[in-house]
Amino acid sequence: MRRASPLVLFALACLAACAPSGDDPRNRMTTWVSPGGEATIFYLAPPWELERTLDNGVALRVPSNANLAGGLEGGPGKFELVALVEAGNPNTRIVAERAAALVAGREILDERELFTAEEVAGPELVLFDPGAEFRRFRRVLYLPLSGGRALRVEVIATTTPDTPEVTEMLRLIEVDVAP
Amino acid sequence: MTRALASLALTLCLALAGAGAAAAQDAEDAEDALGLGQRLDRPLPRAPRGEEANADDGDEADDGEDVDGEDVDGEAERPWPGPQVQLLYGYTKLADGFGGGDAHTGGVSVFLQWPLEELRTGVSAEIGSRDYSLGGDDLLVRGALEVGVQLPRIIDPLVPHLSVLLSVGGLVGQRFESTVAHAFAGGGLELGAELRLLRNFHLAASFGYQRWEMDGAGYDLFLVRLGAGL
Repeated sequence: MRRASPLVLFALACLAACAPSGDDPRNRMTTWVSPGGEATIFYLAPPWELERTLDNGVALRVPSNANLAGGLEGGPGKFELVALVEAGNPNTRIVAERAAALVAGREILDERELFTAEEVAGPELVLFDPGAEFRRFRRVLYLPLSGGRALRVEVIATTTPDTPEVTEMLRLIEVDVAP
Repeated sequence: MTRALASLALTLCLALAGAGAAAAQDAEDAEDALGLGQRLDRPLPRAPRGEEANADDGDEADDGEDVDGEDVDGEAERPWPGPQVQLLYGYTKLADGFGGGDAHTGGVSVFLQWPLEELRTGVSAEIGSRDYSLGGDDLLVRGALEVGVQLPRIIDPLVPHLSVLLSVGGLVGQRFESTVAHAFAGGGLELGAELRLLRNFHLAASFGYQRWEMDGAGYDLFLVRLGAGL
């Protein structure tokens, strides 16, 4: 083992020369690409992990301490992200989302527009759900997709997801907006 | 008649030449006596002091010269071959992809100048913080192996060195309210110098380039290290 250690170090040093540049955060992340290839989500794993894939989307989560230390399966994570490819225009969909949130008794903390790293704009809502079993905050973002569709991305968290980390994760989403 | 004149002339020349040679020898003897005009092909041995002088009395073998004529006292002024210890401050930028990544570390380096003075081998360990743009600072821990060459006598008391470094370490930080750790490894070159102030006490500065691999991505780093040691 002692003889092998310098060789392992040398091998790692050689591998470092071949790796893609870490200056681009996407090179350090895991990717999920939608079945049609119209959307790509980059997530840092760990702490994010793939919970399940859907026919038209994906569910990711950051496990809670109860999930990790207590060995509890299921239950809300610290963060959850659900991305779905849906029909519709982002602007009309966000209006419907807003109306549904009010009906459900959720508080609207902010309404704004988010620009991805590729300068694609999408409307966004920041919500607080006081009636939930667990205290939950939500960010709902709609990004335009080709063919008159939209990518609905919802981030649910026990603390506010209105943080630079979540914002950058949303900004790194790549979407195909070609007509 | 002609032969007699030639013989006389030859006798005079020889006499003058002999007198000149004798005069030159006298002059050399006089210079030696005054200690002038000697050409030194090696440094003069240092005059003994105090107890050293007493110990040297009557002992020709202990007069400060070894068998090869090299000054033994000069050996004592050479830096100790090691291990030598440095306390270090280091700065580098381990890019986080969002504009941050400044890392400040403190650490210890231990190196040897053995079996050759020109060979430098060492290990170092550093710990510090790394700025993360999207959250709190990360904890950075790094260890390194160093093998290089140094020039201990060319521009004394400055001792420059060029080394190859292999680094391993880890980065621990908070991501999305969770603690995550990432290991890294890599290697590179370091160009530095020690300014020897008093025997083994020295100040050190170095600049290096390394490429690390972490999380499947490569990082180009420029490292600056400042230190002092014995």
